[in-house]
Amino acid sequence: MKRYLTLALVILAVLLPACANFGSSAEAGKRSEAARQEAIRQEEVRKQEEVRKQEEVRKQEEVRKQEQVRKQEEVRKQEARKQEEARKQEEVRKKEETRKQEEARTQEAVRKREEARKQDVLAQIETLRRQRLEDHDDPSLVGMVTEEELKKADPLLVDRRIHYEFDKYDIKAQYAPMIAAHARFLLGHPTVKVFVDGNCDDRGSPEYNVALGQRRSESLLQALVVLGVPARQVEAVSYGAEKPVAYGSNEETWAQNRRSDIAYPMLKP
Amino acid sequence: MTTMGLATAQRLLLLFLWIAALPGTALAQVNVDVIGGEGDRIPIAVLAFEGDEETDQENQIARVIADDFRRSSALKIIDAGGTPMSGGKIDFDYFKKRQTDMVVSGTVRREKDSFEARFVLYDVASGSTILEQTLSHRGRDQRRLSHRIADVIHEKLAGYPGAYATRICYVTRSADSAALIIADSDGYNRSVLLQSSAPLMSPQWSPDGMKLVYVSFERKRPRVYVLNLEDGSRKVVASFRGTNSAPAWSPDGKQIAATLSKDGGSQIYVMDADGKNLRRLSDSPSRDTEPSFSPDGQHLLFTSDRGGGAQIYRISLAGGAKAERMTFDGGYNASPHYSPDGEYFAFVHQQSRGFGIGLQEIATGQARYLTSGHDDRSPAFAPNGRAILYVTRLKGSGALAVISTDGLARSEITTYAHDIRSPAWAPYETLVTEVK
Repeated sequence: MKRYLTLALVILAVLLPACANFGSSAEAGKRSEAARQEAIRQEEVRKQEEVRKQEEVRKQEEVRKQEQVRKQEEVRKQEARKQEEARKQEEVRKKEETRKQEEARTQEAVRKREEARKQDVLAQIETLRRQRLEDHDDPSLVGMVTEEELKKADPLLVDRRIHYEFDKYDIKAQYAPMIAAHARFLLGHPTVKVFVDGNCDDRGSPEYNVALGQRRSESLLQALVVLGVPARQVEAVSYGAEKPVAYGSNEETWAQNRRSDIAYPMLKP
Repeated sequence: MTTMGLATAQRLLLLFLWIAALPGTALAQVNVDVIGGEGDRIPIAVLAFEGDEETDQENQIARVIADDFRRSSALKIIDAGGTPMSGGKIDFDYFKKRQTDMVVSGTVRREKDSFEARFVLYDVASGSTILEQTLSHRGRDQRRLSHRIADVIHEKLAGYPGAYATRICYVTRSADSAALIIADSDGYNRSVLLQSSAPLMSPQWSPDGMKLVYVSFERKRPRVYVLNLEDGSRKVVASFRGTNSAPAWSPDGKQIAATLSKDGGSQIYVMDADGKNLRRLSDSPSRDTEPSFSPDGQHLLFTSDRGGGAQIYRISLAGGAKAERMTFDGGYNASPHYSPDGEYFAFVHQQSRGFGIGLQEIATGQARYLTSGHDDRSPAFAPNGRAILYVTRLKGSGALAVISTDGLARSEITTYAHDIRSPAWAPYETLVTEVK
């Protein structure tokens, strides 16, 4: 079937051109008209083709232009990105600079503070030295401490108070480790001088109470000296009933006030 | 102000005046216990002074004198009441009916910077004048003039002068500060001599009344200072190693005794008033403290626990003889203070209830206990030797009280301070000049 269809097509192809030339002489005018027409048609086609081409060129041009604009836009964007980047870098740089300046300032402040602290400490030591001289005491005993320093040296040094029984001045055994710790610290810090004080409850004569307090402070001094602390590093004083830590007229209050304190020359913060 | 507010304010004012007019109420400065011997007291009335009408009631001369006499065990104040004058003269019959033996009247005249008062003391029974005198006073303090008049009248009637025109000092204490206060003998005219963040104690007047010796704890080491009242300057007189405490003036004001621990323990030393020439007076293994010079400068009383508990001893300043024990009654006798005539000493004595003020005659060793408070202490003699100023406990805090040496009149001095310690009574001054 396919074969017949193909054969028919071939026949058609041969016959069709033969038909076209059929009756040429008679139809010469017709033919030139046709040719003219054909020329016109062709011209038309050509023009159309030209317009098409022009259109194509225009379109191509447009596309090219668009492409160019796009590219320019891209370049612009890239430029902007670059600028942004540069700005950011500048910002970072500035920040870094500010940070560095700030750091320098902070360091300077810290340095100044440290310097001021050093001056302050020196002034405190100088005051202490002058007091020692004024009190006809050894001016080399100017060692000063801080709470942290004591704590670091021995946690037992944080405790500097002992209590007494009524009308007694002997030191109870429970305080031995604490007193030993203070003795060790004083032996290791020969320029530190402490005051040990004695205090009483507020009954009877205030002046006689000062004498009672002196017994207490001297028994504490003795306890330190027995452990090897040079006597020059400890001074025993009494505040009688004048420096109470608790107020009231009852046994609890009195017991709290019957005490001795070991007072180190503390550096003021 | 609204009408109602005004009415309320007026009511409050009236209420206030009513309270102030009542004798012996909370607003009155003097709170007196009449302990006994009422019959021996001379009944006396003090009439308002002419020329004193403008003065506020609290400071009127008659009022100040009457308050002074209320604190005496020799006199008894009779309220003058309504119309004691009759035709410009004193109506003695009026006072006879009121069992009043003596009447004081007077006039006061104010100049620019001074006062002059003329006063007369009448015997009601005979209507005769017992005393007539004019006193003038430079300055603006009329109370001082009133106290001086009271002193003169008191001396005429009781045979010894009052100690009204004198000053006292004392220490006030709070949790974080102390102050040395000076005031009139009745507690008025308070002023701060010294303020300190550290405790102050044991102020003592120099015999000339121009200096105070005291102890300050402003350093770790308690030190003895002398404060000059004329120029306000102060000087450390004892700053020996250890404790420097319990200072006392010698009667000539040239020396100061104090308790020092420089050689261990608490021992008594004496030095020049400028702190020089220190010498040791007591030499014992015991606690010796609270020295008090005898007025003749021959002896020293002090407290010592050499016999066990606290007892009072006496040593001769000439040296040689050993200390003589003065007190034997009870286990605690301390704070001896010689009377101005040297015949007695006041001290603190522990009783079953607590601590009270005692008075012992040196010649006989006889002791009398004047107060029996729970916590009376720190006795100080009035310069006339007839009253003792001391610290008592009121509502848990130290307060000032005065007891006559016969134990008959006890009064409290209002100070408005929270906690009072260490009183001292100044010697007589000569601030009022007598013109006639």
